[in-house]
Amino acid sequence: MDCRDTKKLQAAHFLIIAFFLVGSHTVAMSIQRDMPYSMVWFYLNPDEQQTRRMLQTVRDLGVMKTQALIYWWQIETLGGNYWKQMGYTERDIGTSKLKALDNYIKVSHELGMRPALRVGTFRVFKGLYHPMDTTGSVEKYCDWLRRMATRYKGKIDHWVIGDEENKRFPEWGWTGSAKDYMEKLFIPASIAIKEGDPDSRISCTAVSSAPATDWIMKVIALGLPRYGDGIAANIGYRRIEDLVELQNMMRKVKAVWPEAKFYANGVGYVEHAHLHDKRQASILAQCMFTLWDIGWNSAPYYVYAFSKTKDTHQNFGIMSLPGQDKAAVYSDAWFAYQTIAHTFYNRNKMRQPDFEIRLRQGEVCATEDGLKMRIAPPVPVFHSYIRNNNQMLLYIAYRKFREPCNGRWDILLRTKHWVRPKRIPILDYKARLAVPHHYEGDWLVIEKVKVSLEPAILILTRSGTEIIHSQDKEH
Amino acid sequence: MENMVSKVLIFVVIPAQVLLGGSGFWHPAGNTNAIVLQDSGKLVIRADGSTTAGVISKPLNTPQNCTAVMVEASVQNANQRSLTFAVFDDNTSDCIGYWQNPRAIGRAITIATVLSFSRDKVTSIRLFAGTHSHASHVQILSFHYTFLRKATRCHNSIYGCRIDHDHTLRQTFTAEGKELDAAVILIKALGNSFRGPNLKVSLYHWQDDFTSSLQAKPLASVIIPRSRIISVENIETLKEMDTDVIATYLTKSERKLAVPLKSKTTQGQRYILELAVDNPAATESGFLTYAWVDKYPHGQLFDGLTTRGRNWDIYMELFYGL
Repeated sequence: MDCRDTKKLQAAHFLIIAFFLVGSHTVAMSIQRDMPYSMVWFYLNPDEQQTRRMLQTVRDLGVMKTQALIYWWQIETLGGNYWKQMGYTERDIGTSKLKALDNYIKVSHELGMRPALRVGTFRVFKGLYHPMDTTGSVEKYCDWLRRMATRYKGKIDHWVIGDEENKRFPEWGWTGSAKDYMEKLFIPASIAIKEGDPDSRISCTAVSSAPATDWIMKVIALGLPRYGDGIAANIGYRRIEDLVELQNMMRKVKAVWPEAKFYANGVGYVEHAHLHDKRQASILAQCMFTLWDIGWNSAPYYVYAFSKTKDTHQNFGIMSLPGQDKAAVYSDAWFAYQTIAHTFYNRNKMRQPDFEIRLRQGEVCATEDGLKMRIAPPVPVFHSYIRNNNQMLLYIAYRKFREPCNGRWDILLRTKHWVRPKRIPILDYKARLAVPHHYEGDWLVIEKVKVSLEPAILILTRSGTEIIHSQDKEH
Repeated sequence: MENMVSKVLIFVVIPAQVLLGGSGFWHPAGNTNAIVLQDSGKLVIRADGSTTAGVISKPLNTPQNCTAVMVEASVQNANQRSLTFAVFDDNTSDCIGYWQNPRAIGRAITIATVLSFSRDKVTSIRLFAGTHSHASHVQILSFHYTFLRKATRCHNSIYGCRIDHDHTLRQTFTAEGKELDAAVILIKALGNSFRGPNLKVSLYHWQDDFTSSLQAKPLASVIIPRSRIISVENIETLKEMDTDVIATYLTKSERKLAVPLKSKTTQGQRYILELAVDNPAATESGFLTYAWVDKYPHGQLFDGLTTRGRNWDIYMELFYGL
């Protein structure tokens, strides 16, 4: 072996090591990322390959969790054929459904994701947990929960017991009261799940009419912290446009239960009109960012694939799932979610800049008595974060989903340590676009940033730090 | 330029409250080449491309507790969002209030809008009328403003409530000032944007009960033309959506609508804000406003004369005079 061969071998070794380092780094980074981003998952499939094909798209999205819905009567038929009348086939029910659930949980973990489960209760069969158990007793339902928790011990991120059981269903004797929910459903269900998996995390139902603060505070007073780990709410984008009530609820919960987690069965619900629906993309991005920013723990976007709701015929989907001979189709909203997920994570490890930052409307429309009158719609949402002391992220947008508006803003940073501002385009998280900037004395001025419904995301690097991006682009 | 300024002064035709149009009240702003003043006193913007152009007022000292301005203007020929009204804090030069027309305006109509300030304790403002970052051929025929104080505001009202020949909504509330100048509601038209009834907003003083309250002459009654209210079918992105759903989460396309009421009120007394169609015989689709449970502690929503089962309230912002 001559010198050239040795060098080739060394180079090959280097490449192999580098390959593994890069690969393991990617997975490790993903696993370490703390983020609320999740996806409602209605696509349990007994075909493992198809399951992997579909879940891989979620992994590509950068989302670390999904949340599936399962019912007792879907997993165990108890000898009944009620499912035929419901339009189910043998592929969708019983052992086949259980296999689909097994696939979902197994493949999720293989891809580095944590699956969560929302367990359906009695709402489909008007007060019965299972159509073959006409007693309506919670005990047998709990037996099933215990079996599920045992089967998937250590593999479920969290469980949500039911959906919107704070509603009244007087026709089958359900009052929707916090007391009924806790005594008749949550406490027995939680005990059963913890018997199957003592380390499981369990949330009360995702409330209807969120944030339903009074109801949530009542279940907490009735012992939720003793039996569970968090609360859940279904949060439409209008709740996020005006955060007052949601944050008020979080404050009240944390005041009496600091360890409480905040879960959901669905968030966002942003109508999809077409693949390049900028409105859906922008609102979805703002919703997911905001839930991350306020410290929500699990925010499954409702819903992943294009489809229409049965009642209101609304399509909230963001993509079309792949099949064996069919490629996935991604909307702008999917790419926008991807940008948020890959940019904003590990909230607790970020810090606020310790220097002054100011916003200034960027367009001068007149000079009056020496004053430059600057025009742009007031009060955009603005946030700034420093990560690892080498990366600063800025986020600015108008969170006015009903009344979209546009304006140009200058962002002034009193620092010499942060340089090279670039924009991360909302549809391409890897790209970096140069933005005009200059210095005014001690101030770095990022000029005329376009602010709209679509969030503008800027990244700066610390002076002396060199960060290489895979797709650096310049204007 | 001087000539232009003096002409700009003419376009302000103010009937009362605050005398505009005095010498030096308005100055041109932005792209002055796009500003044309006709001899009649109209302000005309002529800009085929995106531009910012209009007029800006002299400083106006605001009364104590002023947190909003209502602008009433006669305008015509404005494409969607090509007309802008704005408020500047004269001490900082920041823009603190902003509005663009959500619907295109054809022939001359009088519009009203409330510009809430984005900060408190503003002592001096300037007003802007014109266009911001849009191509525009808007004509502004008259302009009137009123200082206001924002009182009631509801959060997160997202449940649709129908207003039509079968549904007249009545929200009770308790007055927080001596003159209720404007109410802002959330509204959208259902069905055809031009064919159908107009929106009628009335204000009643609560007597002993609904019957006697509604038999009395309303303190104010305002007809909002259907053409001013954005319709579901006007929004391209709603093409796939079923518009027949009643009272559900059809949350696209509704806009805030300011309704000038200008009625004397007595603080602490109860009133009724009524939302109805102007032609009860019209069977075409009406409107959707938005409500939620327990949003307003000092009143309640009634559909006709009955509640909706729980203590619902419509989304409303109420503004009182200063």
